[in-house]
Amino acid sequence: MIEIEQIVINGLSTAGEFAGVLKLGPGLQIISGGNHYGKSLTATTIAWCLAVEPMFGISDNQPICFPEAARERVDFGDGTQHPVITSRGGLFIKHDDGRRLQLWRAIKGDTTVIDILEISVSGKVTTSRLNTRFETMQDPTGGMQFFLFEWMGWPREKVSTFRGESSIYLENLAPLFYIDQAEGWTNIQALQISRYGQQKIAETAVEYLLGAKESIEQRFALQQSEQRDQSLRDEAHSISDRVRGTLLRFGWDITWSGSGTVPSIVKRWSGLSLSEVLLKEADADISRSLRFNIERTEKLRLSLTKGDLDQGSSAPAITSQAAIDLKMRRNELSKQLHILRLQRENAEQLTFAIQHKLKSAGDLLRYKKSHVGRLDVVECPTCHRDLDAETFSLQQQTEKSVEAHVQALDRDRILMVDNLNALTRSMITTTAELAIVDDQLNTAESALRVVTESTSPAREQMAKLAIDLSAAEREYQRLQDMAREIESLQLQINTWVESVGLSRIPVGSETDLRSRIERFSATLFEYLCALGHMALKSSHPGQFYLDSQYTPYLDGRRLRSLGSASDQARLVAAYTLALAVTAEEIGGYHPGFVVLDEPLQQNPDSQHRELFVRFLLAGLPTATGIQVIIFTNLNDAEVKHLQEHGREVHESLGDHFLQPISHSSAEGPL
Amino acid sequence: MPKGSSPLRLLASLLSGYAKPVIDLDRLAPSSVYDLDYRIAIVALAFEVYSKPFMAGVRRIRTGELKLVQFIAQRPWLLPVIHQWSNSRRDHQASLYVPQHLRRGYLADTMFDDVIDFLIARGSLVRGASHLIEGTTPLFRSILNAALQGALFTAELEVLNELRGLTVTNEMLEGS
Repeated sequence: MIEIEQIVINGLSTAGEFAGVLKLGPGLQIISGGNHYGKSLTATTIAWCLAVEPMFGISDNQPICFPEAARERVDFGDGTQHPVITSRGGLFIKHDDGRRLQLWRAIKGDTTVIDILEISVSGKVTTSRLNTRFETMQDPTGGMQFFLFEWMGWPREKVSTFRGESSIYLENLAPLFYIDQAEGWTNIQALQISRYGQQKIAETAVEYLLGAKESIEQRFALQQSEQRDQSLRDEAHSISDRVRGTLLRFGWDITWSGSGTVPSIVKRWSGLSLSEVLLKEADADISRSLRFNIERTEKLRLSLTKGDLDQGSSAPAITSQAAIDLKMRRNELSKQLHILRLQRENAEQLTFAIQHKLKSAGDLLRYKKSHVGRLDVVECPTCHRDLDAETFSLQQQTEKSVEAHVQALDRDRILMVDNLNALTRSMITTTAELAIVDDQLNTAESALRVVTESTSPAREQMAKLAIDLSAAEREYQRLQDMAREIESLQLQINTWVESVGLSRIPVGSETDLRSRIERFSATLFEYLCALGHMALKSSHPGQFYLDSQYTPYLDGRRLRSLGSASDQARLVAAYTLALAVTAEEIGGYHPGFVVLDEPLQQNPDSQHRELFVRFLLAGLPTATGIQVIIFTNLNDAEVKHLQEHGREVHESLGDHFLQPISHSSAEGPL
Repeated sequence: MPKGSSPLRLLASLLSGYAKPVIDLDRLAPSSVYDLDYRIAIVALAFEVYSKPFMAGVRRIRTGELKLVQFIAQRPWLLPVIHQWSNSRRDHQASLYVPQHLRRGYLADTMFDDVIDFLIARGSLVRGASHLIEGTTPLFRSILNAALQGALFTAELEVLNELRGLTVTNEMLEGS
């Protein structure tokens, strides 16, 4: 754990050099000063030198979180403002093992880098210049946060994002130990960053500070596994669509689903290969067809080159018959396609009608439930007798009846959508078959022309053999292309199945998270009571617990929604302090200091101020090594009371924290 | 068969003595088109969209026009047919090719007549010579507001709005 020893701001203005120095000791440090003194400037310097400014919602390296005094015009309390030429902030920290660190970052100047003075226990000084934000956690040589985590001895933990992984950054942890005056008091972790897309980062930040490293790693592994699972399912869907599309193009409508869980898809896809499914469902054996085609080609080649020619050839008759058969087949397929198109048009219209009826019935059900504009009692305007709808042959259906109608329509809709899909598949296969038959018919007609133009039976037979051989070779080529495509699809399937085998599903083991959270919860309850949270004032306040996001609940209601408006600040303060103290007790990765910038902002009345002072005296654990830095504005009596009880209160000596260097003492204005 | 009695009840009475029918009407799913609430809502929306000012604060609509547009509003798939029919009004040759099933369909919509009778009896409408006039107990505006607020019957309203550009001639309404 570390402790802040000094906060410095210095620079050069047109009126000369200026500086402000705040020296801090261990334990409770109260900095009391009036409005516009420079308390928030000092507090912001801590965040700036730790390079966690993204938590203020600003872009990297933008010093706009500072008041104007540090970056534009400085006012030394003499009523004139002097333009700032350069300025920088410095943070001096001390590790509990004796090592020290000085972090210097320009406020006006090059804000993208930070100068670091590393002072070892023996007094050896090492200086380095690191990138404040660029690759801050990833760059082992130039990343500021990489260096800081190493120096602190903190592990760099990964967290899942929606599309990959990221790290826990210091700006994710800072909202739990740095409470900003402007927004920090509005909620627990009000400054937590969501734009990085890290999943469950608020819970992870609490766990990290409490030292639950194993739990974070387990969660990360599980999230990564879930993401991988989703990506595998998406890939399986894509492969299945490709398989079905390709096979439909060849004229085969087979079942190759990519739906279901990953194990069920693996089981399905490992059970039968594509060739086996083709044989089983479409009776298509490509290798046998290829073998048959090779034999036929060979026979035709032999007949053409060496075979005896039959003088009484029937080649014209055979060729003519083949052309006629193909023409009939094409005609049949065209008719079939036409019918399918008509059927699809009708099915589309019917589906549209069902969808409209479904919408109307759903609306009617809501209309009946809302009762707006409905006629409950109808009476004749003349005789004021009740009118029965049945007198007019009309009926009012019950809600139950309309619900039954909605369900029936929904069944019809599912049926029609399936029907439409089946029709679309049939159209694709029929179109594919028609294209093949068209091609064959062209060949047959060309063959018929050549055969009929031949001058002798022998020539007729030779012409037919030559054309058959050419057709067989083309068919062989087609079959080979088909086999290659199927082989490529099978390869994609096999690769997918193998990739599933490589991904291991992490097995969760027992971690110490529960005990850590229980300790934190107990401390938080103690601090909430000490700070005087209104909801916990009664003798039996109810069951207090933290939910799965570590949000405090009391008897099933969020503590945030209970108590008075000023209890909001108490809740945030108690949560922050309890986390720091628990982390110290159980060995968490907490920096060891807590910054509370103006915790009294919600409590202007004397009763709450008194309660706060009492908390500073008795509520805060003095035995812990946690440094609590509170920036506030106490009156003279409160300061005196605290000082009498041994609390360190840094009072403002002038009107402004920043002073010209000649007027500034070596110790600074405080 | 008396008008309005359920055909299933009639069937049950015919079968009694020969079989033991158990018919739970609530479990059957008749179409919403035969529900009084639905039909009143559609008539109300059609009236609000198509009626024209008649006297101070009172609106009216041609009976046949209301019958036609509410019929199409429930069946949006007939939109192309009615557009074709409307466009063929100046071309007598083309009118021969216009499908007549729409005309037959809406003329045979006797439930509309029953709903109008009911609304007249309730005082929501008054029957004129060829028009329906807003009655003394207005109902339609509240139904339209409820539909707009609850995003109800949006598909029907969409059809009614699309039909605004349609010219409905007296010839088309003949016989209604």
